[in-house]
Amino acid sequence: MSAGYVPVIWFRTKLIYDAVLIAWVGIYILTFVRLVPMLQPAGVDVDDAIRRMHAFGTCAFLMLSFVLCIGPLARLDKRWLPLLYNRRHFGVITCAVALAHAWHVLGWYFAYSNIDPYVALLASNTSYFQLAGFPFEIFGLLALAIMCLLAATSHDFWLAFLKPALWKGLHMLIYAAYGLIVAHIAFGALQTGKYPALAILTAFSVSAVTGLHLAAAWTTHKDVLETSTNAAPAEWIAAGPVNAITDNRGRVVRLPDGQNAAIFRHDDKLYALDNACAHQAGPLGEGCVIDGVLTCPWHGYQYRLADGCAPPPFTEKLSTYRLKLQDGVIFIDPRANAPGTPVEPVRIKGVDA
Amino acid sequence: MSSPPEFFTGYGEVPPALSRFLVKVIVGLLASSFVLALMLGLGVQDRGDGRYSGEIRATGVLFNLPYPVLRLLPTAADPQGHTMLVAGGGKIGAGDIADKAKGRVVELRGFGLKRGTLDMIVVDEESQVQPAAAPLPLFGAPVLIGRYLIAGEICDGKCYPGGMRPGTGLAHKACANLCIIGRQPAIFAAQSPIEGQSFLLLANKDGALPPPVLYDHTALPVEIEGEVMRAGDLLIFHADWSTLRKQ
Repeated sequence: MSAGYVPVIWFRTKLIYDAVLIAWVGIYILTFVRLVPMLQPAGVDVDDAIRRMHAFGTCAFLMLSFVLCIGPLARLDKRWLPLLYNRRHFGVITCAVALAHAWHVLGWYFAYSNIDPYVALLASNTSYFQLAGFPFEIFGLLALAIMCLLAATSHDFWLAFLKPALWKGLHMLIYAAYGLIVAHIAFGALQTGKYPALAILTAFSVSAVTGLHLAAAWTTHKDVLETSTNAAPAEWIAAGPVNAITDNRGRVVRLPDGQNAAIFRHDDKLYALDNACAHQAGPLGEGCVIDGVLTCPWHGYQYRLADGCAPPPFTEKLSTYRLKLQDGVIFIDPRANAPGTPVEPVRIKGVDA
Repeated sequence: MSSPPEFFTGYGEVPPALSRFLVKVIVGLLASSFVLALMLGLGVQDRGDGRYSGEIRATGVLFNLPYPVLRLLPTAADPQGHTMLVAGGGKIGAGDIADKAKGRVVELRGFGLKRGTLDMIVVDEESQVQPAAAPLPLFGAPVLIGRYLIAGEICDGKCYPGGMRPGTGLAHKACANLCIIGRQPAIFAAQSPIEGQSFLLLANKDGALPPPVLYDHTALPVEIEGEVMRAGDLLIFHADWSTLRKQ
């Protein structure tokens, strides 16, 4: 959490995660560049460099497609949350694979001439005003620049330096990078018309990423209780029946100002905190109370329910909200308290459990 | 720390039910890696019949038409003489060699590259050009065969015959341009053979190097009108670029 910075945080589950990722990449690349040539019929003869650039390029695309699916998968089924836990390492390894692809392209298609490979990359095809023959390399180059920027800032130091809102906004550029990579493939490798496996897989990957995001957005929208300013009494807003919240879990409520608050039930008491984790704006309402502290489902950041403060030595703080209970219905005061403000919980024993 | 069932915190214990699910996910992912690599790997193909033929020597007369060609000395079996394209190493053409030795009988040493009727010698250094003691034959200027409208693709003459595999297609367009910018021979791969030949050396309509407009049309299906010339068994297409149309 936030007590100090180390270059890379590793513990057992992260090591297993990284080992599986590296094994995945290793199996993919070795199968592509070593096994496949042995299985292809006589007469099929592809340069090793071209085979490697295809191997690393498709590997990076598949990894990025999957890494983008992890978020919505975890929203739809909590069992996928462990894959989200170490997504930064996944992103950094994906960037390294994409760099390997670029390195092979530069070292083959753009080398061996009397023009510098980086100049050749930008200058050898300048047909920017036609669809057929468009210099698709530029899409890949822009996507790689975004991926490198995101990999370089995938660290808690940058998160604290840029603040979560800006950091999160910056890292949403990964969707732009994904779009650029799809364009890179569509205007490049798919234009030969002789690569049906890549066409099918690209269509499937794009559909999966889009479909899962839409499904997760719909589910999240469904689970968030929309409130109305017309609810009485004046400044209090009805936030649903108390029995809609199970013990040690929460419910997300959308407030009139567009912010989401999360109401939690623990030991027959109700608490309300900001729904966005101070770390990466993870959905705290989908978290769980463990040993008396609210635990974020994304990276395990923890907060005390009574005042929204992370337990010492950590220093993150969340806004708190006042609650009250009338006839088994929870009411929330939509005016957020300053982060870390203690709020007396609402007791529900004997009301309507 | 005690986590409730199926809630994962990373630094805590993984709940047993979740462990079983994760093991299945890991096995599935590793298997998918193998299957996906096979699927996509087998899709990368080059069935072109061109390839390097090893180290060769060839003796003939060098010309620039407008790219360097070597017209081999006539033999009894081939009185017209065979004509080879001459390319340089990497993506740098052999124009300098041809400029210095054109019109002279030379022996070239390099690597042979052949695809169908396209025959090329790839020379790396000037030192491989040796003056030959053979008598200078009387090769005439290229002969006009006729005016044609030809459909096909503009390629670089080194990658197309097998210098790269695959050395065609839009993924290779920038590389093809880079070769042609470096004065490797530009060729036209015709959809239907002309005078029995599918590959024609490209030139401007006055026989000079093709204009830069060519770079927008490499690796794309096009049709161009122009005069076809013959030099030995090599056809040269003096294209009229104003007639170029996309197919």
